Amino acid sequence: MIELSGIEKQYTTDGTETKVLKGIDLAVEKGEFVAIMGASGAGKTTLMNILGLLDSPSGGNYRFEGQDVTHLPDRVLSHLRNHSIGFVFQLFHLLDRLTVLDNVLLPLLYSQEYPKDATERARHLVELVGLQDRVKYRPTALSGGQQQRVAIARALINNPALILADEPTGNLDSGMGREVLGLLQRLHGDDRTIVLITHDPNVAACAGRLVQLADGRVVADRMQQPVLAS
Amino acid sequence: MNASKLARTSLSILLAHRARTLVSCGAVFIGVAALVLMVGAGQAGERDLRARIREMGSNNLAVRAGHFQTVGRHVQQVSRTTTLLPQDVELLRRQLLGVRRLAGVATDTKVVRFRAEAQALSIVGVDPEYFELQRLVVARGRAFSAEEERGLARVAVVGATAAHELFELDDPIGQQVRVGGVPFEIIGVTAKKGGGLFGADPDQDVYVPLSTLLSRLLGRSWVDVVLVQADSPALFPVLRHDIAEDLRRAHHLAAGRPDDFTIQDPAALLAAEHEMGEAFRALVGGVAGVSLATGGIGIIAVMLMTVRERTREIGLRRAIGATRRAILFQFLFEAGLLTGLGGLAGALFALPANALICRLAGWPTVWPVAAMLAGTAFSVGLGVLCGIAPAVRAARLEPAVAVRAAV
Ligand SMILES: Nc1ncnc2c1ncn2[C@@H]1O[C@H](COP(=O)(O)OP(=O)(O)OP(=O)(O)O)[C@@H](O)[C@H]1O
Ligand SMILES: [Mg+2]
Repeated sequence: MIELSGIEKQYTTDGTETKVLKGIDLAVEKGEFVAIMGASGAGKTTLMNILGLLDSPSGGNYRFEGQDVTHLPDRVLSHLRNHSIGFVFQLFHLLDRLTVLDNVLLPLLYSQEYPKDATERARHLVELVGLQDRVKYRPTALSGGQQQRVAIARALINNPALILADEPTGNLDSGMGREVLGLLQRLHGDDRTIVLITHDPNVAACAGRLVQLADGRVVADRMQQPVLAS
Repeated sequence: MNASKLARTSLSILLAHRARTLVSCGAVFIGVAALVLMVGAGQAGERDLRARIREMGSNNLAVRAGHFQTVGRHVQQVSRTTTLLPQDVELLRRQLLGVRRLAGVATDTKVVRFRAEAQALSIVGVDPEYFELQRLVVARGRAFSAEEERGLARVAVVGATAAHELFELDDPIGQQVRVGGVPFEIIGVTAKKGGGLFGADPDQDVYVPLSTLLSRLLGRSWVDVVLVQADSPALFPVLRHDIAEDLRRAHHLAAGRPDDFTIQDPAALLAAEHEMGEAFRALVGGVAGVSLATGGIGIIAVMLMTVRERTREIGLRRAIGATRRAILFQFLFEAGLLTGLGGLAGALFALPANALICRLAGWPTVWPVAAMLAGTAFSVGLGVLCGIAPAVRAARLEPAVAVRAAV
């Protein structure tokens, strides 16, 4: 599913070079639920952006679903993001001016073909995340947990093989956080891989594998018995 | 990528930013409205002008007493003289070659009374030939004859509108009226003609024999104008020369002294009026240009602000699969939509406004649909053009950076 070898990332700001990722080797199998932990500034988000094809590494090699994606044109990368990856962000990233349903439908607008059953699919997902009676709401009229569930429904609309969640519970209280985690646990399965970034050990405990990142390097990587969130 | 569905989401975002959308549409609204009005008024004025050229006959020359200048819409009398006399009219009638008809004209405003009704109207004293020369059709009753003219008969032909206002339901023919206190008999009513030059309305006038007007009402001997209908406009230069020669001799003007009359040809007068229209068009065109330029700059500013404010949205769209090109198109579309809405509103507003202007100006109403479409299309183009820089900026944002943005 994911094969990273020797991934490096450095930023040059005002002439000074900062190495954020210093050679990451990581392989994630299909169907895994991986938590990536690390202190603030360890490079978690940077790594996720590379995993999600939002950013390209300065060095190393990335194979995604068997395909070398290290150097691909924007069009192909965009298609892969649209088709195979679902993002869940800490700040939800919903469009306030659109309804819940339209937010969930948004990725389909960038698909090569707009499916005939789009609305049906979106309604089904909204129901899956338990918001069927909020379909026509604007995100501003929802609680944080509800907003994040909308974002998860949006991430699922194209039935992607990989879900990347960067601190999905970071802006939620523990109750709502558990709800969201429970949802992610239910979504992960044989065909869906989840990579979750967090610096909360309780959140990381819900994953089947824990990768520790420190100062741009993988410092620990072990399997674990996932704790059920709800 | 699903363009129409994307457009719908853009539209709902623009509509949600109502105030900003209105403000940025405003200048384009004014610009396109001005543009459409300009074209509409121009077309209407032009059509009106042509109608009047046809109507008044393009073969006529006017010889006016005194010295005249045309300033914009108005013919100004620079100096006034009392030297153009009925015998000059007769002289020209005898002497000129290539002339079909000739009529002396004098005008003054008098109160016309019929029973309790009183109206101040233009009393136009004319030779009987005037009616044919001006293509004034006497629809009811009759025109006055040469004998009546010579005999200072107190008979009058009223314009259609004046007749309607004065007599309302009564039959005007045979009625006695008082013109400046002098009793007259109405012997005819003209058919509605419309379209007098420089604001004059032949339907509002009362026509009486020239001699009657001069001696019975005005107590003077000179006329204001001699209208000369040529066989062809090609004869104008010759006629101008001959008329000037005859009149200068008759008026004993020594060489070197200026004419005490002015020869005008209506085509030239119409051209002057046309020029006036040009000035109007230049003014409105300027307004349109300035507002559209302002609108364009406004759109650039608004779109740049939008891109800054919606950086995270752009990041998100990239994350869920938008290509750079899709982002570029989205913002070009939004810019075009913004100005297009403003332009369309302006064009729609201009339509009834134009009809109103036409009515007030007494022009035939035109519906400048082509200008509306062109104006709207132009405003869309303007938005797209002005949207280029902001859209390129949006498309160039690094997705990883944009998605982290604070907004
Ligand atoms: N675009 C950029 N330009 C320069 N430096 C950057 C850029 N993006 C990230 N960095 C730096 O890279 C380092 C790692 O950032 P990153 O966001 O990956 O950390 P993180 O592990 O996600 O931290 P947090 O837990 O606070 O989210 C930080 O020091 C950050 O300042
Ligand atoms: Mg981070």
